[in-house]
Amino acid sequence: MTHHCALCGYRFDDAEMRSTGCPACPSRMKGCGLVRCPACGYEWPGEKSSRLARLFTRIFGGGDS
Amino acid sequence: MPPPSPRDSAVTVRRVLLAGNPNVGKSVLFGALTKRYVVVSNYPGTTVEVARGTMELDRAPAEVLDLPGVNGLVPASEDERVTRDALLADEEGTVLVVADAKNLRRGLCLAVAIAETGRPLVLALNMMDEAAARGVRVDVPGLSRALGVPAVPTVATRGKGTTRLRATLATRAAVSGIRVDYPAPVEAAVAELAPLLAGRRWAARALALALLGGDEGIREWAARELDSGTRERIEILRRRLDAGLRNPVAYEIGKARLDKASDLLAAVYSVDPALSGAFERLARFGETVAGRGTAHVAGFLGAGLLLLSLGGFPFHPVAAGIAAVLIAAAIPFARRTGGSGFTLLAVAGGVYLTGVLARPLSDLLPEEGFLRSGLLQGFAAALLVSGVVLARQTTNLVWGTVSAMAVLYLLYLIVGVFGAGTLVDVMQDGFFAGVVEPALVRAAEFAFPGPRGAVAAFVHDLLVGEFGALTMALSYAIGLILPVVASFFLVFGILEDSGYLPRLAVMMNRAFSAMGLNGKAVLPMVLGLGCDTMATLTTRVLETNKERVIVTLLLALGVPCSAQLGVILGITSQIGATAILWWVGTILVVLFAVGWLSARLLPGRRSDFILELPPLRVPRVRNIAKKTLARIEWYLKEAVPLFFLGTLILFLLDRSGTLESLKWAGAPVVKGLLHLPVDVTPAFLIGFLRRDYGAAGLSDAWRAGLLSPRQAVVALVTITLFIPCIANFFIMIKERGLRTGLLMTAFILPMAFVVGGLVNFLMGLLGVLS
Repeated sequence: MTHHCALCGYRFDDAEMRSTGCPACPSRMKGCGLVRCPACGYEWPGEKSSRLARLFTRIFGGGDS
Repeated sequence: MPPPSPRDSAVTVRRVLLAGNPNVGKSVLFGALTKRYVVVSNYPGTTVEVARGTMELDRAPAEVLDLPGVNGLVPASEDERVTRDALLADEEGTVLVVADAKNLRRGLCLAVAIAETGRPLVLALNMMDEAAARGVRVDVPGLSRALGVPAVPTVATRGKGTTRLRATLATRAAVSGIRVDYPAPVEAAVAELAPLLAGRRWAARALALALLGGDEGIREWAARELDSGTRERIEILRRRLDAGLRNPVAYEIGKARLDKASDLLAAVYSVDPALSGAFERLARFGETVAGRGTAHVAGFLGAGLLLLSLGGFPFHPVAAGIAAVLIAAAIPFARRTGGSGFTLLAVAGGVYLTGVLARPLSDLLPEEGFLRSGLLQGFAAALLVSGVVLARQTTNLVWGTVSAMAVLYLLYLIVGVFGAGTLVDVMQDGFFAGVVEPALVRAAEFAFPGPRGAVAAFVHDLLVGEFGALTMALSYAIGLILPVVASFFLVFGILEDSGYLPRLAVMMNRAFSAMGLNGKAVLPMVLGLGCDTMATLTTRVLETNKERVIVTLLLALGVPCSAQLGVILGITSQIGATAILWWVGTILVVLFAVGWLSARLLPGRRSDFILELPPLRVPRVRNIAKKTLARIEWYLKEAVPLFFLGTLILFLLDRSGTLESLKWAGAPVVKGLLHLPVDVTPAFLIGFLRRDYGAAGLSDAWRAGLLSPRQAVVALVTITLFIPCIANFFIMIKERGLRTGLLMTAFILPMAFVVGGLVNFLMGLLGVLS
């Protein structure tokens, strides 16, 4: 899944986030449901971990993330 | 195998140093070029890993070093220092600068800095496929000519362009003749210093710039390589520059390089309008129409329209007085800020005229009804369009402030009018008070019919009593808060996807600079709008402990997270535009005053702030919907359990009689200082858990008629200055230590009540919302 950081504009995928963004997280929380930009550290709730967002996608289709 | 060293180049024929910004595909390109014999080991004297491999260049082996990603040649971390040291120490290597073609500005900024060192250079424009997919067009031959070095488009992940890149590295690497024009005092100092630095590995001009820029690492190099007379001369020139320039030397050097990169970009880089979106085109149109001269007039009208839209500021001696003070304040500021000063003066004049004209203009509108509403919405639409026109100027402090006010108005319409008004009326007054609560109370009566024993009464009250989990916590969380945060998350998602947040960060950076605060501090402050707790963790990016303490303090004191901002703003806007202005104004004044004082009491140098501005975009409806839903779900999971905990604590305090004692103990502050009814004390108590929960309690009191408009503003200002939530309190202690964390808490809580008292006093003095 591709993410797009709203603060710095950086585009990254889950693999890059897990290898770069998550290890840089001082809280080291596994499966916290947040998406963290590897470039600037901005965080937001991940749509993948949200049941409501997944339900919306099933009904109305995807779109960019 | 020994660790890679830039000094052992005798064993290889040639060396290629791979340099680039972080995350530009440098390591993938390294893999594509070397394919084998890759060794990863620490750079000498550091813990930084550097990959080394070999490749064939013109049938001869060449060593390739994959250096850590950097944003410039003044290192801010050990990684960056390794790259700078390798570039400084290496004698015969060719530098291969890898740039992300879709984010080319920062890549060019680095390429310009490296080109100035006088090293042979080749530029690889990587990720060309992604750039093309976004409509980006790069005039590669034009860029090559402008830089004076070969530029090769590549797609490293698919090995595209690597053959051409090898051939170019072998035969065409060139020393760039590019020249960056720095401010006159910097040029004068460089001219004086450069002759003393000739004959080194870097061009004398680049070395002089690095030394003048205060790069600590390069000063160590100078201590080894230069005589004491030259070092003394450097220090004198540095001190003279520091005294003569408005900004730090490193900032001026970085800015000049960025300007040069922007010029290059403007000449060779374009985005297909069909792909970049209508928002971008509209902004361009607005910019063309406005131009530089008429932009002032547009600002004048924009400011007037804005204030008219904010409820038709009635003609009032106080409004005229404030406008006069603004103009008086603008004149000295105009002198200090040069070009933008005139703009500020124009805006202040706009404010004044609006104050004078608002009443007669307001009288022209029909009294009530559809037409008046339509005209006001027309003002709003005009404001939004002017916001788009001004969007290109959002990084300018003055235009940015005007745009920020336009954004605030958008928030007011969606969160205040629609969320906190219409939606809360439906959810709380209609659904909860009319359907859910009576049903829950009937169910509890049925489960625990009277007369009840002690245990049954306890459980009954715990569920549906005054501080019941179902009647209070659930009603606050779902009936009062959810509609407000949902509408706020909607607007926040639009702001995120439109590309506004980075512009806000850049604008805040300018305001922070005026306070003398570190530019990097902006990032945690903007992140705080997402979550203060995580932003507190992010303060680790700041260079000194003093900076971390200041930003942690400001985050805890006055930066509400998105949910809290939504709730507080939503409730304030129910009281009216005056309440919003008082609330926003007070919080900003407190933040700036505390930040300004802290920066002066705790001295430390500023560092540079580089942020790539993405293009402005039209947000996509589906993405906004998904973001909003994900945030609502996150909020329900994160905040609602604390609502139940807070209600339980209040319930236990009430049952044990402690609540009455606390009300009595808090009366001198709540009643004496803030002039609030003691019945709002529980709201302040639960505000310690989450300040939005406390705000919900205040909202409840406001809706029940317990608070006058002025009292509501005073109470909301006070609770906004509380520590954001219990998690933030613990993270403060974890990050800054027990002593500093407790000291901050001991400062913040009394500060909140003192500021609340001052607001009450001032509003009384000016007769506002009486």
